[in-house]
Amino acid sequence: MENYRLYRLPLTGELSQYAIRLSDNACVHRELNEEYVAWLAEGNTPEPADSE
Amino acid sequence: MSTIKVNSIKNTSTDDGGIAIDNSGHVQVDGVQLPTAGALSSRRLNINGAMQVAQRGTSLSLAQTTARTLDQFRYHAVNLDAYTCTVAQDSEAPSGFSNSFKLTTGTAETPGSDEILYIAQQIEAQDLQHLQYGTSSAQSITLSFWVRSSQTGTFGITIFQQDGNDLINSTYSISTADTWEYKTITFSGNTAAAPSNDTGEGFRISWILGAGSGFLGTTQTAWGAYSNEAYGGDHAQNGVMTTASATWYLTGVQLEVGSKATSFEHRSFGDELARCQRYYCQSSTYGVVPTAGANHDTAGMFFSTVFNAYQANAGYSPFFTFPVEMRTTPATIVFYGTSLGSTTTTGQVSIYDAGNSTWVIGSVAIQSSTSKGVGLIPNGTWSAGSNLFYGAFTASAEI
Repeated sequence: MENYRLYRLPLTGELSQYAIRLSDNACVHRELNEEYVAWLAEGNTPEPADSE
Repeated sequence: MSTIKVNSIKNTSTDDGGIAIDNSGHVQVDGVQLPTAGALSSRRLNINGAMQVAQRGTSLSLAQTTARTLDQFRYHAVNLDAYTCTVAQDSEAPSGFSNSFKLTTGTAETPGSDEILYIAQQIEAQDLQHLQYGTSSAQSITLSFWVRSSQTGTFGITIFQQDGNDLINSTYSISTADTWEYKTITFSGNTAAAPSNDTGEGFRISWILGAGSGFLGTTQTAWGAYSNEAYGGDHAQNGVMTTASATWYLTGVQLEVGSKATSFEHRSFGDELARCQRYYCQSSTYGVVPTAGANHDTAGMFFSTVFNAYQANAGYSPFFTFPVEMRTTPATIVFYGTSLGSTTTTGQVSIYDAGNSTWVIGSVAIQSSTSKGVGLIPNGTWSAGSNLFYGAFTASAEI
């Protein structure tokens, strides 16, 4: 099962518009990446940002 | 006003050339079909129809997962269990073309009722507005292409229009094995629904290669509602999918307005590449596919730049501009590091720690991205100040 991790921008602390796809460390847009959006719709939850 | 009604006009001394007028009033001049609608130039609506561009590589191993192949041609594998194949940019091509899309089956599979395999090109909706769909003036469109296969028989072809959820299908026949054949199919205009004037999917043209019973059986030669059964329609030959080492080639793809196919509109490589880069691009030189951990001297693969490490474990890169403005903000961006620092996984870059005179590996996140470019956040451990990194990226804004 694919998994993702959120991250925050270091200077502002804001959540990035991208998440990290853990299988290949790709940056996937949290609203535009079809696979990520579908994964969320299945009820999955990404890992929180490291600081959380 | 007088009208001269003839079927052809020729020079008195030859039967060659001249002007021919068919029973519908459509005209050929010296054997070349003139358009029945639309402009005389920029007629081809689809991109990379001559299979010139293959940014992701010229040979790709594919399995049961939908994937991108030659630019703008997508491999759709729905619910397959065992099927594998290779898709290549091949030099086998009909006269006048240099390349083709070649699919070679590895592990064959008989499609179950919920399985379908097809190759598709998606066309951006805003580029279809002149077809006047959704009105009584909706224009007919004609799809022409060269195809060749080791399997003869009847193959399905479908155009799906996402806005409206409509679909129209047809078939073409391959008569002789391993021989290039030219096909033209005309589809009526969709008077009921129009593609939205936006960057979303307008058309999805699908060449069906294998389909189970759940994707077959509904003939829909006029636009109608989507159904699984209409997607495969009257497709009958599953041999490409069910036969190990079976081959299927495609090139010379042209979708155009009007009821007649005109000559293929050849475009320069640079023109086609730029059009493709609207949907997918990479920082490396064309023909060099980014690979994690490759030697940093590999020609054309990596860029290097100085970035500002504002503290010992974080920094911001310059904003990298994409070669052309992309369709949207990229949905997926992947980074690649070099052998410097010994990275072998994607999502990293090689960073020169100037303060300690050593190479380290940094992970990469995105500070910001738009359709114009991307700014990176290298993360690692290094001396604060101006450091160097080597890396490459691919960005996808595919429909």
